[in-house]
Amino acid sequence: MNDLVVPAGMWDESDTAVLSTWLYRDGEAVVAGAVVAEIMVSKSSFDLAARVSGVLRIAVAEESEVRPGQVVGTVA
Amino acid sequence: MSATDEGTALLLRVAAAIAPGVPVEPGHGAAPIHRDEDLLATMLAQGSPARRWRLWTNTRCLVTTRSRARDPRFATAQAQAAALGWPVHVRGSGGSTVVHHAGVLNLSLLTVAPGPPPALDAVFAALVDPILAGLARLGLPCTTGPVPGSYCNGRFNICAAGRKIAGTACSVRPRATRHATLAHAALTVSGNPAADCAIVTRFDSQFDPACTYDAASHTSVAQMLRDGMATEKMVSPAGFEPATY
Repeated sequence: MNDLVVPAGMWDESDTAVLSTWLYRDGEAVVAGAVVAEIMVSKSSFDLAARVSGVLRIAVAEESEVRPGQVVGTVA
Repeated sequence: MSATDEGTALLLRVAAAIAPGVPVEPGHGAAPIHRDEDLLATMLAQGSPARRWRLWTNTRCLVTTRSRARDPRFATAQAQAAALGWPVHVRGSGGSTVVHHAGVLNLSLLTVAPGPPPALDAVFAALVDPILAGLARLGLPCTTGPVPGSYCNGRFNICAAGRKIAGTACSVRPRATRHATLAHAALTVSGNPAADCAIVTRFDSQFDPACTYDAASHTSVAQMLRDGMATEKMVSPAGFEPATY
C-alpha cells in the first residue's frame, strides 16, 4: 500500500490548501505515475501522482482543506 | 491612430520590454487558454530540460475555475454572461474569475527541469521578476503583493501604487525524475479596468452574493501612463516596430 501524501515545504504553511479534484473515483485502478488528484493553494494547482499501480482509496473529499504531510488517500 | 491601434502598439511595446524577441500570439476563446497545458505536456514528454515564454492575447471573455464550473449555478451564470458578450471559459489554475480581451497581455513561462519542483514562491518569482524588470525598463515602477478588494486576489499580484495591474497563477507537475511548471500572468495593458471589474463582479455574484470587488483596486499600463506614473518617458508607439504580431 502506498499513501498519497500532501507535499511539505512547497508553500507557505499559512496558505490554505484545498484538495480540489480527484481525477479517478474511489476503487478505480490507477497506474504508477498517474496524476490522481489536484491540490489548489495560492492560486496554484499541484499534481498529486500515484507512486505505484493499484486501486485508489480516497480518504478526503473534494473541496476539503488539507495540510502538508496529510494522507489524502492510498493506492494498494 | 485609433484607440485600438494605440492599445495594440502599447501591448507590443510592453511585451518586447519583458520578453524581447518572443512573438505575441493572438488567440480566440478557449483554445489559447488550453494551449499552455498542451505545450507543457509536450515538453514533459520530450523529457529534456527546457524553458520557454509564451506571450498571447485573447478575444473578450471571462475565464473561471473548474471549481466554479462544477457549481450547479454555473450554466445559468455562463449563459447570462455570454448574452452580455462575455463568453465564459474554464482554466486549470486556481483563484477566481478574470477577464481576457485584446488589452490583456498573457505571459506564460513553461519550464521542465530535473528533480523535485521548487517551492511555489520560487515558481512565481521566476515569472514575476522579469515582468517587473521589463515594466521598470519602460519607467513603470511596480511591486508584488495582495490587493484588498481586487478580484482573483493573490500574494503574487503585480501592483502599481497599490492597485492590481496583473494577476498570476501557476501549475506544478512533479514527476518521477523531473518536474514541469507553468506560471502565468495576465497583465492589463489597456482597456477599461472598471468595466472589467463590473463584469467579473456580476458573474461571481451569482455564486457569492456577498462578493464585492472594488474597481479602484485595479489599473492598467495605459492608466498608469495617463496618471503620469511612468518615471521615464515611454517610447512613442510610432517608434515601435510591431513585427511580431
